[in-house]
Formats: sequence, C-alpha cells, structure tokens
Amino acid sequence: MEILIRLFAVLMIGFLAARAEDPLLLNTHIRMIPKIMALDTQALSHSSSGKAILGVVYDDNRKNSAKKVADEINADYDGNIGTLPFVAIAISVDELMLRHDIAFVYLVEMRNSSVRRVAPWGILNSVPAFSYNSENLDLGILGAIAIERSTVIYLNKNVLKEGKFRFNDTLFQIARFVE
Amino acid sequence: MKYTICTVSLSLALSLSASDTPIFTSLNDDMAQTALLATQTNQNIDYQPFILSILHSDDLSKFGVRTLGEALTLVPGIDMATNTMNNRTPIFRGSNPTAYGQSTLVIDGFVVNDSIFSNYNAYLDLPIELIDRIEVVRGSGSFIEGVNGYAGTINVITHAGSDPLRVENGTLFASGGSEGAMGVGGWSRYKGEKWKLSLDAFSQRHDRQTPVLVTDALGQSGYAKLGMKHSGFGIAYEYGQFELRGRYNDYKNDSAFGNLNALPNPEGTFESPSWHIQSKYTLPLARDLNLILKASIMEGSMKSDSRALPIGTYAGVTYSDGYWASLMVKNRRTSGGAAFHYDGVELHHLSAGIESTWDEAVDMETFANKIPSLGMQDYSITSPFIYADKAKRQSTNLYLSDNITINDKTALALTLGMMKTSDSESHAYGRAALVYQPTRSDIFKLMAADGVRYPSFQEMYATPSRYATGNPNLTYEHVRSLEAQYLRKLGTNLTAGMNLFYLANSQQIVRDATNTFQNYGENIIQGGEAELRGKLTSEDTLLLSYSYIYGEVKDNYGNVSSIPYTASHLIKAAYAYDLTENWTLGGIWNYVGSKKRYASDTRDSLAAYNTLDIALGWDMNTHKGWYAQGVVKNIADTTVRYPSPASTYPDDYPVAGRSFWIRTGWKF
Repeated sequence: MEILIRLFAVLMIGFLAARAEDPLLLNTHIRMIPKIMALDTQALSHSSSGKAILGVVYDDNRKNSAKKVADEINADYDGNIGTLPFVAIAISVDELMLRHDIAFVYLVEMRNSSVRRVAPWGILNSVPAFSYNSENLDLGILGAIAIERSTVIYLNKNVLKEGKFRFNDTLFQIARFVE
Repeated sequence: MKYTICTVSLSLALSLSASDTPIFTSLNDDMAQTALLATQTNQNIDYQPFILSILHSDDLSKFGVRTLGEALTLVPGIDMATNTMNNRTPIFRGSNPTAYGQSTLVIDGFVVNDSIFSNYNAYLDLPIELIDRIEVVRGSGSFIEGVNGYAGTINVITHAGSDPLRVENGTLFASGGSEGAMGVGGWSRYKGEKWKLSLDAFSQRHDRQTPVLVTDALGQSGYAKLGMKHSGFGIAYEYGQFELRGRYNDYKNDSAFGNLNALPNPEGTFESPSWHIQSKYTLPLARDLNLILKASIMEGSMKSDSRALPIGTYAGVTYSDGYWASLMVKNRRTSGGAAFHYDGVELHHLSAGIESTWDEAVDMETFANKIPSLGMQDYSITSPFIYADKAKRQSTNLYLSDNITINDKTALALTLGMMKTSDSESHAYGRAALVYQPTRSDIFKLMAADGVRYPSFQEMYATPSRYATGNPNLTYEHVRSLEAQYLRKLGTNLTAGMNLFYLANSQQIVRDATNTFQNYGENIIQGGEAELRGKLTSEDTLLLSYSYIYGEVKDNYGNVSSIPYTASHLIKAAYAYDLTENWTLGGIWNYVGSKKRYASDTRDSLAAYNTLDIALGWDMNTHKGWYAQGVVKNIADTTVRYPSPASTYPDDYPVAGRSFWIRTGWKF
C-alpha cells in the first residue's frame, strides 16, 4: 500500500503548481473521472469517431484551468481507459450547448448560472456531468467526488433517473446517492 | 436537498465483465489511496474526531506570517503569554495561563517540550519557510498516537517531514527588517529509489526591545531588551520502513525583564539549546498488522547569565556591583516504545502501544556573587537553584485506541490509557469522540476527554528563591472536558463552524503567596468559538474566528473569582487576495479583549488591544522560482502587552510595537 501511495503521489506532483483548487481533490478527480466515464455503457454512443470525448467545461476566464485538467488527463491515460478510447478537451459552456458528440463532462469551478445551463443539457442528451464542486449536486449535476472521512462518489438519484444514464452496476456499489 | 445513503445491495453486486474489473478495482484503489493520503496529511480535517485547525505555510506566508508563534495566534481560542524572561507560551482557551506545559508541541512526530519548564519557547520563532503545515488541536486527548495533549496539541510538519503533496524540492530564503531583524535559511529534499533525505538549516536574529519604557519591581525605568539569536538544522532520512530524524535548535534571547523582576544588564542572556534524534521502524507482521518500534533521545539545557539585581541592598546585604547569577541545568530524555496497528476487524482501526520515557537533569551549575566580597562563587553543591539530583522521572504510557466506522454517517473514536510516573501519581485517561454527518454538508462532533499534565521539574524541584519555590509533593493538573462542534460545508473549499466547550480543570499548579508552587483549586472554563475558513473565491484565502471564553477560579477555600490573564473575547481575521497573477495582498487583524487579574492584584484589567498587519507579495503562489514580500506589522503601532504578576512590572510586559520586514526566496 505504501508503494501505491507513493506512486499515486508522484503521478500527482506535476499538477500541483499555483492552483486555486484543492490539489488533492482535483488530482483525485483527474484520476477517477475517466474511470467513471469508462463505466458508462453509453460512452461511445455519442460519437461516430469511435472515440469518447470527455469535455472539461469552463466558463468566464477559466480556459487555462480546464485545459490543464484536460492535458493532465490525456497525459495520464494516453488515449485509453480500459478498452475505451477517449480524449479529454477543454470546452466552454457556450460551445458545449452546441455539441452533440460529448460523452461525459467534468465541470471545473464555475458560476452557478453556468452550472444551471449544463445540468439540463446533460439530462437532455444523456451525458453524465460530474463537477469539481459537490455543491453543484444541488443544481442538478449528476455526480461529484468528495474527500470526507473516506473518498465518496456522490450520485444525484433524481438526475440519474431523469437522464436515462446507463452505468455499469459496479459503480452503484460504491456510490452514495443524494436526492 | 434530502440526503440518503445508498446501502450496498446484494442485488446490485452483479458479476463484472472482464474489461470492467480492472477499472472498478483501480477506481476502488484510487478512493482508498486518496482517503489514506487525506488522513495522513489531514486534508479531511472537518471529518476528524477533534476540533482541529490546519494552517498551511503557503497561506500563512501570504498573510505575512513569519514564525510558528505568529501562526499560532491565528488559531481560535489561542492567546499568547510570557514571563519575566520572555519565555512565551500559547494559552489555549484560558487553561492555566500562569503555567507552562498546557499544550504540547510536536515537530515531525517528536515532542519538544523541555523537561525543566515543560515549555517550547525556543521553537516559537521557527521560520515559517521551513514548515509545511501546522495542525492544532484544541482540547485534551491523543491527536498524535502516544502523545497526550492537555489543553491542546500543536503538530508541526516541516519540509523535512514526509509530504507527498509538495511540488518544490527546496527553498532558499532570506529576510531582513526593522529592529535589526535578519535571517537566512533553506531546505532541500533528495530521493532515490528506496531512500529519501531531507535537510533544513536556518539562522536568524533581531535586536527587539520593549516599544515603550518599562518600570520594574524596584522602580527602575528603561527599555527591556527582547532580542534573540536563533539557529538550527534538521535532518530526516528514510529507507524503506526505517526513519531517522534529528534536529538541533539553538535559541538565545536577551534576559528581557530579568528573572528577579528587575531590569537586567543589557548583555544578560537566557539560552536554551537542544537537540534530539528519533528513529522509527515499521515492521509488517501480517496483512493487517503492523508493529511500530520507536526510540529517541533529546538533550537540552537552560542557561541564564545576567545581573539579576542592580546595585543595592537586598535582605541586608549590599551589592556594590549588583547581584549576578549564572545558572545552568541540562536535562536528557530517552524514550522507547512499541505499538501495534491492526485493521483486520472490519470497520475498525485498532492501535495499542506502550512507551517509556526517562527524564533527568544530568548537569547543573549555580554561580553567583551571593557574598559580594567573594565575587562569583560556585554554589552548585551548597546552594543550587534547582535540586538537580532529584529531578528524575520515569514515565510509562500505555494506551489502546479504536477508530470505528459505525456507518456512512457515523464514526466513533475511543482512546483509553494509563500514565504511570515515578515521582507523581499515576492516572488513567480516556477520550471518546463521535462524528455524525447527517447530510453531505453538515457535520456534528461530540467529544469527552479526561487528561492530565504532570508538573515540570521547575515546579517540583526549584529551590527557594525570590523567583519561585518548587514543591516535590505536587501532583498532576487534571482536566475533564466536553466539546461539541458543528461544521457546515458552505462549499468545496469553505467551511463555517461553531464550537462549544466546557472544561473542568482541577489541581491547577500555581504559585501561592509565598511563591511556592501548589495544586490550587479548580478552574471552570466554558465558551464557544465561531469560525469561517477556506476560500470565498478561487483567488483568496480566509481565516476568520471569534472566541468567547468565560472562566472561574475556585480556590481551596471555595472563593470564586474570574479566571485571570484570559481575554474573554478574541477575534482573528486573516485574508489574502491574489490581485493579479503575480501580486498578492494579505493581512491579519487581531483583537484581544481585556484581561482580568487575580483578586489580590489591585491593578485595573489589562486593556484590550488590536493589531493590523499588511503584506504585499510578489509571486507568493509560485512553487518554482523567486518570490518576495514586504510586511508591515502592527501598522497603528499599538503597544502589545502581556500580563505581569502583581508586584513585578506594574505596567505589564510590553512586547511589541510596529515593525516591518521584507523577505525573498527561491523555490526549486
């Protein structure tokens, strides 16, 4: 376990400089979000290219922040998670509204008004939306990962039903549901 | 939002496809590793079974904090006090503000309180650049395994300690400012496949003096010198499961207000150098069972060298050159212990251990011109200032603790222990803490504890003098505490909290009318703390707290009075904002309410004061490259005073006015 922790820490180190977000939480998201996407059985259905697109969504002037997250994910996974080919891209809220090829979205810190735009878009298009900020669950986002006494994957039960999302059931074994 | 926990349902535990299994396993591993890292680095403090504050050095630097001692004053409920030698000590929630040892300072896993005073003044000026983070627990109990805090525990993790989240491999820094302040230092880290080496070193000084003239117990006026020279280094080496750490700390301060309450000669000094080495080996015995072996040695000394009384006649003896004394005592502490950690019982984390410590004064010198015509003479045998031959103590601490996860919402932490000492009564202690998280954003904690503080060698073995007289019959100070905390997560990075506490302190060690240490009556202290910490935006950092403390002292005759030397109201506000990508503006506002005195002291209460610090920094967020900062402390030039006992310095101990300094450094 000690070796795993050190390996985990080493993987995180390149991404810690000058960041407003909590580095441990953000890097946990970078490690876990693609894996959660890989448990989405519909991940490949949104794109005709045979490659799932993970959108790291930003608003205002946070493009750099989102791009760093996307770059780090791409560097960590080199285009594949398990058998799922994928690519992470930084994408603005405005651009996201016009896209139909996004398989999964991860929201960096953003205004509530932006979250309120992304949440119904995700439900309408059956695109799972996870957020850095777990408070966004209250705004209709599907999921979030929080570090509490242990690491917790939260899923919004109502959104899960409403959006007709299809995850491998193993995810539900470890998630906590909020409604 | 209504919150429910999804109970793991067997019906959901469907068979996994071959391709999903590694992802699911990997996801589970990520969750476990993150949780472990978060616990090791206390990133998940809101869920820990303590009332805990964590101060990160990156934030502290932006606020303009320079030393460990300054950082501690940002913690809710903590105030600072000093004595006639400017031997400072943090006061936790008003817990016996006239005695040392109320709190325990742990640096990289090692308790650095000395055996003579049970104090750690020599570490309070540790540069913040050497520190990664400071974890402060208010209240008694074992926050660090095997370490029993009384009123509180301070855990300092330096860069020499293990920190997997730190980006830079080292920093070189320098600072300078008013009052002749200057300092240099640095730390660096190296690692190989199986080993890791960390080093730090620093040297600093200042020539501070009281910001105003003071009048001593003899009616003399002057400026008391409060300067210091401080240097040290630390080393940490890890190889596999083996750790070896050491630290040398050399602290020398001016004689301040004089150990007999008279302004001393300007060259008078009070030195307290110390060093320690500790080793630790973790031996995996089985899949869920580890044995941890520890051994350590610490040696420290206290040396006071000054003219304690000016020219005059005292007790019928005329000192034409004043009364001079050169006092030294050296103590050694050796310690060894073993602990078992067991995770084999589902939802439990069990630990049990035993640690034995041997403290003794190994050398002592008493030189003085007690008979003026003879000049300085050696009184180490005939009239020592402390009974060094009696200052010996063997302590054994036996403990058992269990952290129980009852369910997703509830956890329970239990500790039971027994402390046995050779020169005082044995005592069983314990602590229970319940953490309940009914919703994602709400956390409740309820804590009860029973703790003790054993008297220091000074309190037991100081020989009769004008300063103090020890009492070998002293027993431990005792606290029974009840604490409650409610935390509301206002956002991922913002938490609001409300704490309530009730402390019943008995057998408090104070000096009686003859200046002899006694276990004296009971203090009841109660109050609350409200705090807000975190980030309002991604560009700022905030610490805001208000503490209310109300205490009563009941003496052995049943007389009740307000607890002395304790401010009922403390407000602390620290804020830093990144103005641009490069510039950061920070500041600290500190309000300390008025402090009552002992009933027998006819002086008015010590007046309230507030101070404001402003800091402007360049590239304070960087983890690679240069940074610089300028700080003005106490802009309004308020005279900060700590309370003095009656019949000493009538206008208390003025310790600080306005100062400024700059610092720069290079992170690599």
